[in-house]
Amino acid sequence: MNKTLQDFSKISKQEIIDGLKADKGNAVVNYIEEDFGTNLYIGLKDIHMQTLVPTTSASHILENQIGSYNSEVVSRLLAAGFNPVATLNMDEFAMGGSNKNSYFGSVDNALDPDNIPGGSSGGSAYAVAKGLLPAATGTDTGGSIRQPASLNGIYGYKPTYGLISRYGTIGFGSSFDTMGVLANDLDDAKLISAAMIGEDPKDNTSYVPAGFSLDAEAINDLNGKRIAIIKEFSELECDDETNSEYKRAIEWFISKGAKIVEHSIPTVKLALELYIAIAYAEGASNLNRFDGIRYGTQTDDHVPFITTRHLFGSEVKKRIVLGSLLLSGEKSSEVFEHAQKVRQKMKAQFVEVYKTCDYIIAPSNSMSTIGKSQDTNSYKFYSSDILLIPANLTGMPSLTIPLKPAGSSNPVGLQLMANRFEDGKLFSLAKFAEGKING
Amino acid sequence: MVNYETIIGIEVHAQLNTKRKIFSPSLNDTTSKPNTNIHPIDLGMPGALPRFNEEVLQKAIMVANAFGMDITRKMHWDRKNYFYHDNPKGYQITQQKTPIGRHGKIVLDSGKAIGVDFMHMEEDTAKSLHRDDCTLLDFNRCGVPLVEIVSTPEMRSGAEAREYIEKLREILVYLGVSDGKLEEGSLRVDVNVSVRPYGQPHFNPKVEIKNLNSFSNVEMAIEVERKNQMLAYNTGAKVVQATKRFMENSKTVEIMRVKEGVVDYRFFPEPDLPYIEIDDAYINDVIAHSNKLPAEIKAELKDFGFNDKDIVNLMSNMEMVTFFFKLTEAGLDPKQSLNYLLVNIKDYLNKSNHEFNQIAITLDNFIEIEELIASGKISTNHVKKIIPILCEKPQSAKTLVAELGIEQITDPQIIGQMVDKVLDANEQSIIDFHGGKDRAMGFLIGQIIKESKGQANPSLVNSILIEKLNERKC
Repeated sequence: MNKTLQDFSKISKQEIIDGLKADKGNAVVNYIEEDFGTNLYIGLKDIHMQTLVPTTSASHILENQIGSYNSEVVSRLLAAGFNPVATLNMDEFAMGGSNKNSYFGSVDNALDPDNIPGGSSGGSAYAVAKGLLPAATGTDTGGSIRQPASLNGIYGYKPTYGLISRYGTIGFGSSFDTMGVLANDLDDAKLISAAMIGEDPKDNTSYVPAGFSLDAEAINDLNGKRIAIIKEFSELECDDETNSEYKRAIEWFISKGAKIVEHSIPTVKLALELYIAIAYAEGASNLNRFDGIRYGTQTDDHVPFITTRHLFGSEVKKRIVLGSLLLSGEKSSEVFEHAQKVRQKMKAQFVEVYKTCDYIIAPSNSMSTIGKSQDTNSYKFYSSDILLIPANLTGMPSLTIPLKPAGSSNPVGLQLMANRFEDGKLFSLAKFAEGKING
Repeated sequence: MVNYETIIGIEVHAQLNTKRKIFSPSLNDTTSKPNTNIHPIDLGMPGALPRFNEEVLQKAIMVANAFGMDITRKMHWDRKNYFYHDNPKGYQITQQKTPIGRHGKIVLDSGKAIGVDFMHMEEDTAKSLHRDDCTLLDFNRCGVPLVEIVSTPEMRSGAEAREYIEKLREILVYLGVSDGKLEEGSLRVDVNVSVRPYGQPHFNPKVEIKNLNSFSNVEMAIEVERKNQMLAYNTGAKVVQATKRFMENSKTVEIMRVKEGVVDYRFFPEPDLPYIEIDDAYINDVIAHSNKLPAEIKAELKDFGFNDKDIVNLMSNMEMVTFFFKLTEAGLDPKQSLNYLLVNIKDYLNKSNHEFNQIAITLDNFIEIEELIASGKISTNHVKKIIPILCEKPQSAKTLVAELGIEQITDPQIIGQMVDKVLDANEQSIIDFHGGKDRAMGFLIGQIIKESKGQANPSLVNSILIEKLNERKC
């Protein structure tokens, strides 16, 4: 475990594929046999359109659909010399946090096969943490990179919204969706992310400020650094493992000279509701296109549209219904506009904190392990997402780092957060903490 | 007997003639072979994202300005969600909340202003081609930029409605932003018709009529529908809100569907596209690059002293108007230019069945013609003869005149020699002339022209002849 790109550079693509094939964790959807000749092997979450193998989003409806074009993420990775090995399992259309919602079946947790790997980038987290791949792409709409990274004890980076083009990556909550990386090694995560970052005229919402770089000033100590903890995050009930690791992390930061300050961001309490109102609405609309004419099959009575809905899994159906319901009726636009206003307010409240603080930290998850038999539709399961979702609502970057040594059971992740486009600062802090906070 | 008032509101969808589609790099050309101007974006493929074509914004600003609209400075896009086979994303990207223009007007010849309530930009859907056993889809049209232009319900007759659309179309065509062809669907007109007793403050249920592919059909459909509705009310029947279709052959309107409740399109802001923000400087710059509006052109033509009939005649063809201004800018006399176009060119077009843009005659040809006339080398009669030939194929007017051998002799010495030759042969006529017989003069001119094979310039012949006759008096 904890294998880096460097470690993998010594083996052939076929050996990696053989390793994945021998594994029983169900992380892979399709193998990419074509060898691009470099030893920068990575996995792709099965959500980026590419012309090599089908891109399925772990949905029945796209089971055999090979894309007619490459997503910007794949194009950039190929151009930078990365060699994708496989497309990786996920919650269908990135909807879910358990990887139980995949047409191709659930994925194991890398540390305990009885536990869920988290999701939606569960296949990516599993394959990386298990040491089958050095790193993999993920997408993060409401924590889908950071939560599985945390539950498998690896790094997970969700960049500032806009840095990486969404063109060609199948959309869920378009105003939240962020492409990113899950990796065993911090430097690998940075390397791969840097290759993916770039303003893209094909995505009008993409934006990279002039002079942007993931390489910020290195950190040697935390003297004078102000790190905020958020009252509303702290109020969330976490398990003992998470509480003690989080407490240890805070003490470590203090010991290195940081000043820990508590702030209140009242809108955080509404994060889950805002997320459901906006992301589900966007998601339901994004899935309209799977209408039985171009995707899915028409039934004998030739009634398109509605008949394809049975091809979706239950979580996707639930979100389509909820999302559509929220947009229906006379009051819907008021509700939606109100949600957008509160979202803006939350953004402003976070910006306010960053006026006096360098970072915000929070646990990545309230539970360090979740058994496969646990109810992942419960409010308790969802409520943990209020730790993750604010970064999506505000478009701000978040990097989860493992607080325990690689391979430890009951892993706990710590989120490092900063203001928009301050992604480089996150990598500097993580680099400073690497091997010490989790040594 | 109750007297009814007819209430008409009109929605127009006009395709903008941008080079590329509104949200994709596909060519905006619906005349190509079906499904050749397509892109993953047009087909709504997973992961494909719209990217806004700024040319659409510029053309829409020109239109909004032409209607005197308030132009929205900060706009966003909305998704209109519905399932239909011509709508591959399952939603249409439109501007429900922030239309680019509001509160404009179109003024009819009577002076009555019809309100243009709002106008927004949106994408067109695929074209359905219905066959007996299936429906074929052409996605070349999917993503073609549209402006939807919605009037207030202020029209009161089919004739007013027709004039509103004619004026609207004229503006789009003169701006050069749309080809405005009702028959080809680049301009699509839906009319809403209801009737109510005079004095009734509220509106009765309205009927929407589609499939109106000519101006006369618009007028006719409204007349038919308003009579239907009046008959219904007069006989105690009800008019239900419905969508109808005009049947060209039978000149009737036929029910397509009855509206049961309002369709919920579940509008929400399009998350794949950012806000559009424009300022006065941007708008002014676009307007500065905009073509002249029909009203401005009409005023300029009036300033030349042209009558209304000629103005309407000329303006019925925008290309001809453009050409007219080229002629006057090149220094040609406006009245003469108008005459060339409305008499000589129109005559040729009528006889040849050609369109104006198909003819070969150029601005340079007219400049040559003017020079030939000014130097006395050709007469206006010759002009009549050569214009149709110049319309046929590109060539120089001067060369043509030379080739035809119709160039007039304007050299006084040559003419003088001819005059002498004729006078020498007609002594009696000289005597007759001096004896006061005017006919002799005409006879001599005729002889001289004949001598020159018709090419001697008549006025030169005239003056030289008089000179020489006087010389020979003594």
